[in-house]
Amino acid sequence: MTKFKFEPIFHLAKRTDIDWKKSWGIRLAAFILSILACAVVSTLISDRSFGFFFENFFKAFNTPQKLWNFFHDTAILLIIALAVTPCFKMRFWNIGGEGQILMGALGSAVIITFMGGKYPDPATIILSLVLSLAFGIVWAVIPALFKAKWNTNETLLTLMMNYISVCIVDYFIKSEASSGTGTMSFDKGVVGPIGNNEFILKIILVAIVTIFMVVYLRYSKHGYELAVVGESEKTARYIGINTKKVIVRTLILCGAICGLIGFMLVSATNHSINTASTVAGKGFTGVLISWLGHFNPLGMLLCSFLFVFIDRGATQVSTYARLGASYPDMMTGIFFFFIVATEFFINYKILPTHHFKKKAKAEEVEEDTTETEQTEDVLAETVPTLNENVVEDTNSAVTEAEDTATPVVENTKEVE
Amino acid sequence: MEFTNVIEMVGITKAFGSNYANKNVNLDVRKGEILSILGENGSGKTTLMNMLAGIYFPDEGKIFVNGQEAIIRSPLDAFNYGIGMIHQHFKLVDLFTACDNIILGEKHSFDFKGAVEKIKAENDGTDKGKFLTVLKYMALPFVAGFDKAKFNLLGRKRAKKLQAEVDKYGFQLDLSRKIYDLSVSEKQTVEIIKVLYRGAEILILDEPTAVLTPQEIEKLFDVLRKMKEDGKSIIIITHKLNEVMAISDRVAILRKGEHIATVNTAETTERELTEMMVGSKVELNINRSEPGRPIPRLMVEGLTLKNMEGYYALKDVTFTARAGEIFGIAGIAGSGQRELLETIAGLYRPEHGDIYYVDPDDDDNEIDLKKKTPAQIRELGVRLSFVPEDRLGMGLVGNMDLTDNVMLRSYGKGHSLFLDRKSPKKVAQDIVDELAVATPSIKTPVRRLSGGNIQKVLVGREIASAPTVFMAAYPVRGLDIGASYTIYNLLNAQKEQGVSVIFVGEDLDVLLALCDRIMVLCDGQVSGIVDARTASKEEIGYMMTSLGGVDKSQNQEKGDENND
Repeated sequence: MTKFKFEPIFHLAKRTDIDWKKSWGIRLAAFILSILACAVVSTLISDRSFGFFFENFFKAFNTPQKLWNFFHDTAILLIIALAVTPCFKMRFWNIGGEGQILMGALGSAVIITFMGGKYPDPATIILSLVLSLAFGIVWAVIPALFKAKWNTNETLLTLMMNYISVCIVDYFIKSEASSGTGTMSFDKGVVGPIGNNEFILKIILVAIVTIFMVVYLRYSKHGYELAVVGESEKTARYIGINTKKVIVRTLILCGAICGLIGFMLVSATNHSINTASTVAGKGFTGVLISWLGHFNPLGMLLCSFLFVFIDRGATQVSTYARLGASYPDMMTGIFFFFIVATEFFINYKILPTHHFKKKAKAEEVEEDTTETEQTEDVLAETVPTLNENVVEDTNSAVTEAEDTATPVVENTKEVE
Repeated sequence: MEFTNVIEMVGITKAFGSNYANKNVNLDVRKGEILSILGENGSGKTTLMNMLAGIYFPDEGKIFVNGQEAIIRSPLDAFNYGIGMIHQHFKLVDLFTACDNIILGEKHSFDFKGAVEKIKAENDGTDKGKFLTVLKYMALPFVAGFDKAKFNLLGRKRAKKLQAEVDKYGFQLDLSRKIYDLSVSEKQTVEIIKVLYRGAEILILDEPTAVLTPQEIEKLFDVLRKMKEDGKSIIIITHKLNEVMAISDRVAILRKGEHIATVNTAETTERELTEMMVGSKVELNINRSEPGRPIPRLMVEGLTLKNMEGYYALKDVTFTARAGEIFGIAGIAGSGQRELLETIAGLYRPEHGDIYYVDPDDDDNEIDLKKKTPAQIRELGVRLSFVPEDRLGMGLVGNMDLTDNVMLRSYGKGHSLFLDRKSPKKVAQDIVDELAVATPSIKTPVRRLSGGNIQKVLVGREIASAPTVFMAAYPVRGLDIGASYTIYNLLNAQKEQGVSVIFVGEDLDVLLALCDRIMVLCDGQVSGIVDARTASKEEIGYMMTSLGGVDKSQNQEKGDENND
């Protein structure tokens, strides 16, 4: 006979449908908590007061110029996330947005280098847009073709191609501008500000792409097909979708948008190209934003907005407090940490085992919180966790804990 | 008569969300009996047993093993109480031999305490004795290590001992074979031996007969009876009434998570059990009308298909499915049924052979479907519906709602770049209304529906396209009696409308009652085609296991006659 064992103290129950109010409440709470955590960490690592963080954080948004910058950064991040979203919806893990954008940037740089000043600006601009799109598409389609033809791993391939693109761009810069700084600047043949506002054009472009993407993913046949391919390749085969065609087509779209971003960055924003600062890791941040927004363009808009909000605020704080260049990264890291954690609380609810409570009264039971000998099936259900009720469970979980006679009520698992 | 209860479950309750899988269930298992747990799908049979096997933990209630309260938190605990469960889906390592699978996870523990006691006892108090004792203490870790190494390295030696035990129960199995070489019934045998080897006194079998042929079922039952004589208690989960009657001593009936009754098998009838199981009187007869105007609709000739590994999945399959009849396909799981239907539907490209469709819209002209993709077949105006075996993996997209699933087959119509969700929405609503699909709304992702409702959506969609050929692979697998009969009635209704229905089934009783003709596949080849009105279960069973059956000549003649 085995020795007497105790039951788990807490259950984790998966919930399948959560009230949108509740889930947004959790998200809002996470956002506020993440700002507070940022402030606490800042106070700990600097000799400033707690209030200092908030005083300076909002200084990042107090002039029209700063606000425009804020919206512009949001727009750029959003369009990067939009570019990779169709791939992700298709379960094609394209993490090569960085390289595809850089190649797009190279397309513009090539045209501007050879045509800037010698030909009329409109011609240069149009040609650089075309070449940017072409370069972006080529860089995205290569892994798609490999995947379609030989079923290679797209994650590895796209990641590796990022490095190749960096080398190509470096080579181009070194051979054409031997200034030694690694940066190539342009003053002719680039897109200038419209009515003294250099941001408005890009923001409008991003708005158009956003609307296009909403319609494409939700209402077009292409969007439907790629969702089916992503959900189940077997189903796609069953209804006669040509999976290879869909993969290549989707990556062409992704590459085109990446090319457009490259063009925007070189010709309309930086007026220069540099392997380190042109894209500067935004290609990877875009992947994160796409995921956090659940591949929903509007969710991605919100995510990129909040991300840039924290990033710019933190940059401001670090400038005043001299906290160094890594400080904003830390703050955005804390933000992501909290946002990712919300997913757990949205998908699971924590319930105390009322069974256990009864026993605890009847006989003195040793606390035994570390038992995890569960099989996989149970793991989703009964994993002992934190000894606190979650914020959102105020109405259901707590009352049940009090009233041991009432059976646990959660959301339905299956509709019978 | 006095019985000893090996297991008593008192007031067991388990809820998933607001659904009660089990509600205040009381159940006892006696020593040396075979107890059937009978119930429809979703009645909580498996959940109840999972709580005995340590997969789930009950929300309320107590379990007593041999009269003592037991807390079973993991399968390991269950083993320690002598409870072993054989799951519906086998949990075996394919690349290991049967023997390795059986001894897998066995741990060696060295009895340090015993060894120390022994050394103490040997100490005679003299100087020499003391010296030897110290030496022995020092050697102890090495002895333990050696023991363990011996145990690990010589594991295979146990195979002989094991084989002897296997023969004792009359299992016919060579334990040195690899799992991937074994048939389904042999894999099941390995699972049973594994449980016995761990010293289980109480065996739980979750739908063990679902994957077996009639002959294999008989063999399994013989083994179970032998184990019963040996004093072991056996719990068998099933929803097949004839098996309940054949094997069990008592039957416990569950309905919607509640324990309805436990009755002695000898004192009950199939009808009574069904009524208890379903809660109301049900008509267990499938109406079979005479085929209307049986003209050929789909002709398959010499179809041969190689699968990915290069083996023949289908070899020279020839048959004709006629309009207005249900053409059944029987065979052991994996005999090429799936490949046959998928090849006809255009998912595979056959090596040889032809598939002709007689088009009723076009003056009964023949259309060659060979080497066409599903999209091309649709474009040709061939109204071919296909309900695949894998509902959520192939037929439907689990994360999409009903509307989006309904338009899977038809979304491509027209040249517009955009989707038309209006008419699919109407079709989805019609399916929900007509087939009584239990769903909160047509915006619910289908994976949230229960198995029966998922199947209704899939079958409803395929019927909605007004097919002339309707193929269904295991359409009632995993469905309860009520839902199964809904599906049979739908198939019959299609037949009466002159549709050629091709039905791949696993329950021979159903095949014999529903179909007009039955083709038996064996190893990718046609073993024979019989008239379902005259054929017997045994006859088909033999044809499933060996090409043409044992009494080959008779069957073949019969099949040929019916074919004409």
